[in-house]
Amino acid sequence: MSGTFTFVHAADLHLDAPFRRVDVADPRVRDACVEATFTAFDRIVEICIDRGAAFLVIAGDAYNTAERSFRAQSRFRSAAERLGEAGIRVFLAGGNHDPVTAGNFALQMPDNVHVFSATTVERVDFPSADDPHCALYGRSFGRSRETANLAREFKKGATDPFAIGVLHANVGGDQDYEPYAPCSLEDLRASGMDYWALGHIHKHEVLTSEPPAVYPGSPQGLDPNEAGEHGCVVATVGSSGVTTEFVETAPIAWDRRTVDLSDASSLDDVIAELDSCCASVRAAAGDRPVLLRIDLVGRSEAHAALGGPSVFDELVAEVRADQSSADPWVWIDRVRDLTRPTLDLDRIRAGADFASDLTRLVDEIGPDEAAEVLEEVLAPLRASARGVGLGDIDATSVLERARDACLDRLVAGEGER
Amino acid sequence: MRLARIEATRFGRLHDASLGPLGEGLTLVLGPNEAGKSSFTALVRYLLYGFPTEKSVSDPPYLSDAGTREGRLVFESAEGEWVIERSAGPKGGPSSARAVRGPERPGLIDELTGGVSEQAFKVVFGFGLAEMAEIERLRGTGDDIIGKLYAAGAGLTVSPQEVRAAIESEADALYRPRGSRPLINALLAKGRDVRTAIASLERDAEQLAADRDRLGELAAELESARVERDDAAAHHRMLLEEARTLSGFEEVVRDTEEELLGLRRRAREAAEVVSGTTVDERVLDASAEIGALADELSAFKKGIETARDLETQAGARATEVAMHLAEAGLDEASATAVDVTPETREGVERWREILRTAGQRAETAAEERDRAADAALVVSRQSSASGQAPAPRPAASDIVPWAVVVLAGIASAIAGTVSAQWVLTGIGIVLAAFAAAMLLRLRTGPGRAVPDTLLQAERVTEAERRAQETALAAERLERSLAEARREWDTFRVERGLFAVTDPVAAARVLDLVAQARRVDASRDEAEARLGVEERAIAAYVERVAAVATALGVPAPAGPYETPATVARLKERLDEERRAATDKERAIAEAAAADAAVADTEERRDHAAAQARGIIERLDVSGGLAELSAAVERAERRAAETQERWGELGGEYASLEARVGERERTDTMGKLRFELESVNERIAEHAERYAVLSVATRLLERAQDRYERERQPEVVREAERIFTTITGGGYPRLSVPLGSSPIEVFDAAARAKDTARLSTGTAEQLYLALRLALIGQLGAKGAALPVLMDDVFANFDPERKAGAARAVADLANGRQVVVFTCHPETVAAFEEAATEYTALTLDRC
Repeated sequence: MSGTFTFVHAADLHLDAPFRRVDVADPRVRDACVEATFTAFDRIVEICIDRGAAFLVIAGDAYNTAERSFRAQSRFRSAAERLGEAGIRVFLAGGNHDPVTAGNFALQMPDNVHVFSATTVERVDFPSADDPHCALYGRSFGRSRETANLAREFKKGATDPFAIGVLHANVGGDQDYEPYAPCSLEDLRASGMDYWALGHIHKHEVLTSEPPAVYPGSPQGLDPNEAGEHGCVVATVGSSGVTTEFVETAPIAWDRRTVDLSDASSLDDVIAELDSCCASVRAAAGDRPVLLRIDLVGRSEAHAALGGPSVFDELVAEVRADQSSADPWVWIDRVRDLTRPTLDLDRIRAGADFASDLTRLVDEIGPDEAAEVLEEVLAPLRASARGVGLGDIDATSVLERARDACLDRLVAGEGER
Repeated sequence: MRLARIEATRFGRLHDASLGPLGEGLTLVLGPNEAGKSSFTALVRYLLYGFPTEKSVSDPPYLSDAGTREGRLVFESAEGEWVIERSAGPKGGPSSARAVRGPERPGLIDELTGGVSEQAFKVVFGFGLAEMAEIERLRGTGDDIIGKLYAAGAGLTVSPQEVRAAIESEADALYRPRGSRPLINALLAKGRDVRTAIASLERDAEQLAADRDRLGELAAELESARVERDDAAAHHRMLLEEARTLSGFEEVVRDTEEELLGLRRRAREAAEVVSGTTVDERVLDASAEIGALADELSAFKKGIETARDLETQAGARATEVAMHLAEAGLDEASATAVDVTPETREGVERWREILRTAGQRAETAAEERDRAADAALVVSRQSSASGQAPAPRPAASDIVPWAVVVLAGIASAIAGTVSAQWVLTGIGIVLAAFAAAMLLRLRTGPGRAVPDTLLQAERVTEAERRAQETALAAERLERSLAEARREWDTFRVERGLFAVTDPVAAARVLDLVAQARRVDASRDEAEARLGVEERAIAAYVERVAAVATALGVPAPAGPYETPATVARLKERLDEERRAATDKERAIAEAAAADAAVADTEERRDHAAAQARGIIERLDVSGGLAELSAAVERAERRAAETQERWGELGGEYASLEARVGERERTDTMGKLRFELESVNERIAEHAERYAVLSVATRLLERAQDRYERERQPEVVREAERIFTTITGGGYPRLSVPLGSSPIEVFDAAARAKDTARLSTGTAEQLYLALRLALIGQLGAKGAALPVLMDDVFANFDPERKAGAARAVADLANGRQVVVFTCHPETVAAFEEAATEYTALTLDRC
């Protein structure tokens, strides 16, 4: 190895990917969300330039679909050209979302972009074969559902000063992600690579430090389950080895909070708790806007007030409007009312009236039956929805909330509203 | 509290009609048809709940003849008496509650009706035969009386059925299998719209992909067309260039042939000039000498003039010398003896000064002597009394010198005038004038006086002594002067100034001799130079003569003819030179013409060869004409390919712009995002819908269980009353919640719904349900009277008796007013009740 150099490792850009499972009606917020993946990539480019990176490695899923939308390609090309002007090369491996197949690049990429082969592990000397600082080994997916262990095809050359493996893969069988290009840490170690630039897992993770096998995570979280930090990795290779630094890039943060309304007795209290929650979220996010999900919990006197057919929606809309008009905005994507009435269930359960019968009836319904009932009531809706996902609805929770809804009205007299 | 009296001020047929006093328990009102029984029943309801509008279709308007409606109710208790009054008007009409006796109770109406809706009053408290079936008809509605029975019997403040209806309503607001207004239905529709839009865009994307493919094809076609265009253009340019080249070569051949003719003519002409031109080489060989002679000719001519001038100058100098010598009075020999050295000149000047001084002294002494002699003579004359002695006469020695000077001055003036030396002339005139003046003085000197006797003697003595002394002095000075003159003469002679005695003249002679000598020297120099010039002239003439003789040109007769000879020689030389030049030029011209012929022939041959090469290479045996035709064809082909390329380029640019525009837009991204939003909202509302739907299922199950396991008390009471009325014919009732039919079970446990019951039995069932419900109300509507308007008409006597007993039982705890037009009904109640109030009404 000759000299010290820095490179930036990114993956799973998912350019032009729509945010999933989010409900945004505000055009400003919507536009920011639609633009977020591009903004995150622009920040990676700025990091490359600011840090004087020698090259940028993208370990798969730069695009969101195999077709590679023209807009995504156009923006990618612009960014690559900007990097090219700074003398920074780009090494790109295709992943399951953007396998490298013939004809799926409509736009000609600039000369500083190298796309790794989809048929074999390709080796590239950097900066040149005459005076290599390192050798990059990369392999693109040739199809979306790549099930072969591609990591085993990587092998460091005997004369390589420093070897970087670039691969989109599920290392260790992460159950939350598709098992594409499955491999193990042992496979990675056996290759002899000095650094594994991995992609596929959207959460930043360093699998091992000997050698560094790093998932940078996606630069921008794409759905409510991808809260937390998102960015890229700046790796510096020197005589003492390689050091890595994670740098955040996401322009929009995801957050999920639980608000306990046990002490809330009125709708004003609920609004105050939501405002407080948003303030906390905004402080945690710094200067970034936030997509927020809130679960309201606790046995609360406000539960009954929230149970009305329009009260809850109107209350959430009011808080959402206030928070989304601020700068940076906090968009309350979804608020679930999981509060419970203040009723004494044990006392009701011990009685001999209708409410008691209903409460005991719920007690007798097991999870399976609850699921059956849930599916039974949702069957017409599912039929109407025609394949539209209704989300993960927990049958037991629904059953309990249904019981509470009945008791609210039967015992507290809400049925007359 | 009880209703004591019902007063109809104006209400339908009733006008200032009053019914009362009513009993606390059962009151039996017997009246014929059209006595106002139904009007009083309705009036109570209207006064409590408000008059219906005239447009109401559910209730008769009960308009009075005057078109107004008003009345009042009088309530009594141990604490007082109160009147509720109301007249028809907006929102039920204005009402008031005032105390006739006892404390004011402005909220009396609400106290009386609290918990009992108008519909419930109409169905349960103030009903007639027409309302009997309402209790079942209203099941499942907001006025479901049976549901209220459940609520009351289930220990709830609200009916489970109402709760279920409310929840179902909420669920329906979220989703219904059919319909478009529920939220989820609307979202699903919106999702379909968005998906349709996305599908459209995807189809557009398919079109886009096709366009992309077409774009790629067009790019290939465009490139092919470009290559074809470039090839055609290149072919055209090549042919055009070849045609131009061929044309050029052919033109070269033609031009060179024509040029060769001229060149060959030039060569011949030049050869003729060479052969016809002769040159005298002798002349050219002497060209250097002739050139030199020509160059020196000017100097030669000048030399002649110079010699002539020098000769004249020498003659003038000789004349001048002669003049000077003549002026000096010398001949050449005497002049040669004159020493004109500076020492001589200084000596002459010194002697002139000496002689002058000595002369002056002698003259002064002579004058002194003369004056003294004169004075002595005068004195002597005076002393002799009058013997005046005459003045002595001037001596001849005094006159001669002055006469010589006069002559010398005249001579000098003449000499100066002759020689044009005006200074000498001036000096001569002055000298002559001065000397003449001196001579004149000497002739005209004054006589002296004679002294007186004594004095005169002394004076004479003195004068004589003086005269002697001055005479001696004058004599001595005369001798000195003479001595000086002798010495001057010696000096003068020694220096060759033999004839010149006067130092002034001597000085003049010296000047003249010196001048003559200088002029003579100048003459000698001029003569010397003349000699030189004459020799050069002679030499030049000799050279010219030699060249001329050699070239056959007549030699010059003398210097003055020489320039003409030189000119002739020069002319000859020029002629020969021109001839030589013409010949050389002709030779060169001939050579150049020969070379040009060769070169031109080579160029012609080369052009011809090139032209043949082009014709053979392009296979255009027809030559330039055929090639030009090929060029025109190639030009047309190039234009066609250019046009094709332009068309493809336009199509490509247009398609590329369309594709780029569609692909750059973020519409798809926004639609996908919107679809995600819609789906998320569907999921969110689906969960709420699930909660509400499960809640209705729970309520349904709970009701079912409750109905099976916990028949409400009110239903059991209705069952008991119905059994009483029917005499045990129907021992059990089933009154499910909701809209399921009410069923009765006979003694054999056979179920019948109300549709299968006789009218009377069904009415008995409805009465039983009302009585049971009213009995279960507790504090609700406790002061409200129960008004029954001839509801027993369809009962047989046996069941009428049973019904009367049930009503009488109710009247034990609540005010009941039974209107009837049937005396037997009154009789039945009289039979069943132990206490009652009987009233009668007359037909209105």
